[in-house]
Amino acid sequence: MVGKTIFFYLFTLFLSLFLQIISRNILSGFTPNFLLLTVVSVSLFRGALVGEFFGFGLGLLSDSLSLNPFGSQAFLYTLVGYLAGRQNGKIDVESSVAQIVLVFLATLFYLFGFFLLLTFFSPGEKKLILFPQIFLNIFFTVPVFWLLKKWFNLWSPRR
Amino acid sequence: MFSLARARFFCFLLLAISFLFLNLSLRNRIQELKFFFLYLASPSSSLATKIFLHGENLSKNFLLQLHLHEENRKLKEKLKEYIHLETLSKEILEENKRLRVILRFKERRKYNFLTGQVLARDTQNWYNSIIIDKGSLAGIKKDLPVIVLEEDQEGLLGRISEVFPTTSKVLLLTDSLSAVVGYAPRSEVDGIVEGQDRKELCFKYIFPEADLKEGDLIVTSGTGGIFPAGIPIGEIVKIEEKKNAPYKEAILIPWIKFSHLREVLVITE
Repeated sequence: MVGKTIFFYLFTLFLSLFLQIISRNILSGFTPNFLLLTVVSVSLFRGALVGEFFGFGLGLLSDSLSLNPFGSQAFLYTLVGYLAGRQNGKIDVESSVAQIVLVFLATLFYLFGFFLLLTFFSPGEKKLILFPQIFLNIFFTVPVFWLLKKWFNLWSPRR
Repeated sequence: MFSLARARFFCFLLLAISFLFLNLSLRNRIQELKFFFLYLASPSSSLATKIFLHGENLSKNFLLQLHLHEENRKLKEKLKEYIHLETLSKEILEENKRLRVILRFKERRKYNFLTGQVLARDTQNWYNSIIIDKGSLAGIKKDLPVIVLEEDQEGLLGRISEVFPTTSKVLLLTDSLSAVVGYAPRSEVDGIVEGQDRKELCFKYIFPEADLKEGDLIVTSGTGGIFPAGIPIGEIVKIEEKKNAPYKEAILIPWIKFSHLREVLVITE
């Protein structure tokens, strides 16, 4: 059972990475952050502990595929996973409004956090571009959350 | 409460590890760790890239297909057009050749003639008559002889049987109503050449002792007042000697090709 659960989360991790890469190839320019959406939804549905570990793992893999300072994505996704997971049980996770608000806040947090980390740990000029990313993330929130919920139900019945 | 404390503990632990990676990001060990995670993540990225490239190729191929289909359609239309133009061009060249032959013939012959184009031919009576585009307004009269030029040599076609203001009907030699006085120059034999409503002509009323052979040329004799003398009619292909008949007959193949009539010459004088 534990093995199956670990396998499920690892598979979800690699699947979300795969989707992110595909979306970057198809949509040149700004793309939604599927990794962030996945971390938020996993945290919201499964709690803080699962969310932070999931975020950490996803962040490490994302760091290894990018030119960002290694550990930056892991740091941010861990924090997002923990904070979003803290809302599990406190808000109505099925509500689209709640999901959108949470994603909006998570995106803001992520972008500011990333900007700060780059300022301290990466040389060169930095720019903070908010709107395209926020808008795209919000736009894809409901479908991604819906799909992931179905995905969770497929592998294990909802607690 | 316990799970929350646990979550908090692990959160701090993971953040500390991430922060450590951030601070030591340029160190060799961290780079090795990065490569390890890159290796783990590579199946996802390579699969995603392969799928994307395949999809890109598919869409490109699809668009190319559409483009090629459209281009193919346009090229086929152009090809039809060019085939038509080529056919037309060939016809014009052939007509030009025939008209040049007529022009050369005109320059060296003694009689006057009018050139007419074949307008119509009755498919039910292919060997009977044709309509040409010259009539009384052009100077055509009834019973005028009509010839055709083939490879610079004239051959008898028939005679004018009906005249209208702008067209005329030509009674062909092959019509059963047609009769011409023929002459075999080699054996100096006269006879009547009659049509049989088919390709072959019949050379009749030949004396039994006439020295005729297959291959002999039969021309117009000039008697009768309609046809000038010396115009080739046909070539003997068979001689028939009928029992109890005072005359013999010969079958002729006409000098001209009745299947290929385009321009005709009407001898006016």
